[in-house]
Amino acid sequence: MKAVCWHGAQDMRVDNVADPQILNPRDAIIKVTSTAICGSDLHLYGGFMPGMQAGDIVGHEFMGEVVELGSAVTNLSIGNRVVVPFTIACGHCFFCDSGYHSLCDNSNPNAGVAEKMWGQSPSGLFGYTHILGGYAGGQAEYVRVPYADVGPMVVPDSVSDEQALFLTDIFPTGYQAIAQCDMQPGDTVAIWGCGPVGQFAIASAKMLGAARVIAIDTVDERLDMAATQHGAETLNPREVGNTLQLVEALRDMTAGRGPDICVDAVGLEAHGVGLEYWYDNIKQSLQMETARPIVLRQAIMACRKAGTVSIPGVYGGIADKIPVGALMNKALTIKTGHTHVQHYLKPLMDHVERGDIDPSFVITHRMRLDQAPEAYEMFQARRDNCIKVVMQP
Amino acid sequence: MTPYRPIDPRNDDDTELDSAREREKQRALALAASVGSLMVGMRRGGLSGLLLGAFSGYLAYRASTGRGLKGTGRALARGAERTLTGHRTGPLDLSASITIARSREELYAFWRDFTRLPAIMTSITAVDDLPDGRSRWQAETPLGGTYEWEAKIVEDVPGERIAWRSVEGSDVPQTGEIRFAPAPAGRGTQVELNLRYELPHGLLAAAPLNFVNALSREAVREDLRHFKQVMEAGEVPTGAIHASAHEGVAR
Repeated sequence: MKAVCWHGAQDMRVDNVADPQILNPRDAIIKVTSTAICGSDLHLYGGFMPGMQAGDIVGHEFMGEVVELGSAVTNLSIGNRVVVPFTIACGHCFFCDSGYHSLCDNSNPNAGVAEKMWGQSPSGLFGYTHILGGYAGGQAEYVRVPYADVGPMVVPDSVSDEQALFLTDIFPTGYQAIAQCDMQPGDTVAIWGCGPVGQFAIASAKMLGAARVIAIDTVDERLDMAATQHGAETLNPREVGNTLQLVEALRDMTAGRGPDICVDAVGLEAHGVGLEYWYDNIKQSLQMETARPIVLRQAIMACRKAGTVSIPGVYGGIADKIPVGALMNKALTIKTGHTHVQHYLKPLMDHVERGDIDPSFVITHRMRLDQAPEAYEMFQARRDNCIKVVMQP
Repeated sequence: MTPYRPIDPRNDDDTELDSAREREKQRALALAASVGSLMVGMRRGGLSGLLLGAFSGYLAYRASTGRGLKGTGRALARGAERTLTGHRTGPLDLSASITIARSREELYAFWRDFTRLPAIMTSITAVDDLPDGRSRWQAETPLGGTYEWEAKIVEDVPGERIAWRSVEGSDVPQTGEIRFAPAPAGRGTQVELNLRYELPHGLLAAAPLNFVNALSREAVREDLRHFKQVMEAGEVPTGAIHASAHEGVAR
């Protein structure tokens, strides 16, 4: 089959690889009908994520048709059209039982490696670093899906591929970023990063009743989408200035209070203005820190006292100069983690089915799977106003 | 219970440096070498850069504690030798524990049937039941050979504890024990696995003989993790996509 394989930084290729097989009783094989490139795939593409191996099949946003089932999967049938959560979860451990599927105890075959890095291991992920299992991803014609009896969800006929696809990751990820914050009436939400996750966080904040949403990004087209699609107010750090100036602008916009909820939907490759950006850029290239936590610093500094900083953006290792004094003295709460997709799948599918939201608004490009190398390059460069690429095998 | 023996400080340090002047000279050399290896390490990056960085730190430590460049090689060699053999000439104790969301009775019942253990213990290829609480164990060695021994249950408390030991005359005499205790607030069972290997000639000497890859705390942890995966999720996960890439998993 054809599959998009990682071969190093800036090097994605469409390779011919062996078809996947059923290996465990709870497996299913899915014939992929639609797959997308996620912003977090760009961390792999840029070479910022440790634990990748040449030839790894990437992609964790995919859906398709069930073509083969393991002996223990009884809730699905051949031919079912399903959407698959990017977090791989067994459904039976303490964390799955508690709704924390991205923290599944059992799904990471390389949990020992993750424990060395982070103390404990989260769940396995499709098409990502071997630290999280090295599972083959879904930017391919076929994909093996473990624990298929608890992960994949059958898509109603009334919902199209393009409306369902983002339930795999970015819609629930943006939704969880807000839902985990205990938002109160009148709250202002500031969201850094208006890529796909940021857009869904903005949409979710509105859906969950935020009084105001402030969208922050350096790319004007993304700010335009935030403003026109969801009525967000916008802020471009290139116009406002460095971290201190941005924090001041947010304080001014909220009559001195600061945003009640600050969302870092950017993660480890943040851009910034001036000296701070160069400092982190140099340290990151020397491997003295694995992240450029510019947005995280800004979110902590800007956040209202006793407010919540929510981090859906991806981090892998160590970051420097986190303003821990602001964190402590302002009594902030931090909420973060990969998304517990299985937990949100059903309620969000209901929203889509009822027409409360059409997640396809975020798509800017439709391409074929064999155009993947070009798609990655374009998405990384934000060329041609690229926000979201959907590919078909 | 691990018999860690502290290194005798009198044997640890290397050379008595005769004069104050010599000491200062050696300190300066160590410091210069430390800075040098840090710079080279930073330029190289990657694993070799990381190792050079660590070496730089070691040299800086030596300089700061008044020791110099002289004798560094000998100290490093001695450290490596200790790591491979020195500490390990007595018994080797390995322990690990894990929490499993299942009852003590279920977990005990699985473990009590030793013939199922190859499904979760990476280095064990087969276990056969023999009469009188005895069993024959077979392990694969790193070089592809097999190694066999016989074990006997010495204590069996249903739902709580099973203990076993190799019979007289084994090449690597060993004892094992698994304990099951309730986890707090109904969170299942805390499982503790304790293994002891008698290594009369050190770990290095045991390596060609048998399954050295099993003789680490990581391996014991990994086997317990497989136990948990089988009991909670019904299978051991794998990231492979096809059978030829599918190693040592789910039976």
